[in-house]
Amino acid sequence: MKLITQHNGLPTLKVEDPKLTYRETKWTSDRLRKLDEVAEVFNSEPSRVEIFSDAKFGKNPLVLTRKSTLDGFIKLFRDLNSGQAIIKHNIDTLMSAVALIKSRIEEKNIDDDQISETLKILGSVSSQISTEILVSGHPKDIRGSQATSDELAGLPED
Amino acid sequence: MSEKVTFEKLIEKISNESHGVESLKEVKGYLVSNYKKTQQAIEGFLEPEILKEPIRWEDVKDKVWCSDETRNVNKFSFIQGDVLVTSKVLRLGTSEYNQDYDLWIVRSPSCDCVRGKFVRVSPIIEVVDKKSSDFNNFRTALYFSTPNRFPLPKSILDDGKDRMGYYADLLEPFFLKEEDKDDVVVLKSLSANGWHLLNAVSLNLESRANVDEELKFRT
Repeated sequence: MKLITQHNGLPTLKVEDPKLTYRETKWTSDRLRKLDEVAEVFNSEPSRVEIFSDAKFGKNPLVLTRKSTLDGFIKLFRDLNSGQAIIKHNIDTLMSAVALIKSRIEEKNIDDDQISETLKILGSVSSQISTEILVSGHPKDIRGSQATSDELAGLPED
Repeated sequence: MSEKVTFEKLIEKISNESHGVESLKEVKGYLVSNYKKTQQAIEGFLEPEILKEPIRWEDVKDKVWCSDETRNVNKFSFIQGDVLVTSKVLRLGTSEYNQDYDLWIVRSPSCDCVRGKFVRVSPIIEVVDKKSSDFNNFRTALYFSTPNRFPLPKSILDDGKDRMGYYADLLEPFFLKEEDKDDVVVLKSLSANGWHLLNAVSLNLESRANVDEELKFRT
């Protein structure tokens, strides 16, 4: 199967499934924690999502999470809508089954029972098709422009 | 004459000369003669002079604009020189910029931050210590020996991490779209001195700002 390494002329990056860590918490007590404590908790567990429940919120509790977590989801939708992200279906197994049927038909050595059996296999592997999302773009590689000797000339030495 | 007064006279001079490349030479000359070590320049100049707490529209609207109409049409999320966190920045020639680098400085004049379709921003790069590969880049920013970089102090973030400072790399253009202007977090704004210095560095790349308005934001 051909690997998709480019899209829109740019390298593709696989979007990993979000790994979030959920923590149940109470609005009435936990919202009053000290800032340092909250910062420390999220620094040590960046994927943390705190769910604040309260009867006043009804069936829709609030969450506290890093903004970058929310931004990641929004960005993925934007990438999909703009065509920057593509969904790749992994159909290797399905294609193998199709190739098997094709070869048997071409060899004319397949009877009705075998066709029926093969179609059952085909049906079962169809449900196993997985997908992955690829986004094209530059890798994370912002670097500063390098200082020239002219720019460094005349500066104090450390 | 004290050092502080001399620095203020320098700022006054570059302001009177409408910023620009010649002003940059004046700034470099002042810093090189007053700070012989990088750490001295960081402590004596960079930390105290460049940044201030974020400037909010609610806090400055009454002193900058004189009617509700002008206040409302100039309502801003951020202004020139603000240090932002956002993941929505675009790179030129790419429909979306696929990375999560998230510290940026606003380059466009403040009026463009309100009315422009795009706002120009530049990436801010962390410099941990003298062993960092970006240390020499940082020095050229700190001593204003180039129009390509602008120094920023470590006080941008208070996350407990030890670092020397930052610099903004001004060469490659990046942009924020109009619809993403509200989706930013402003960490710091430029002081009046910091704003004059940014304009001394980047005036050759930016349109002229409304000086009177920009200074009212910051004083």
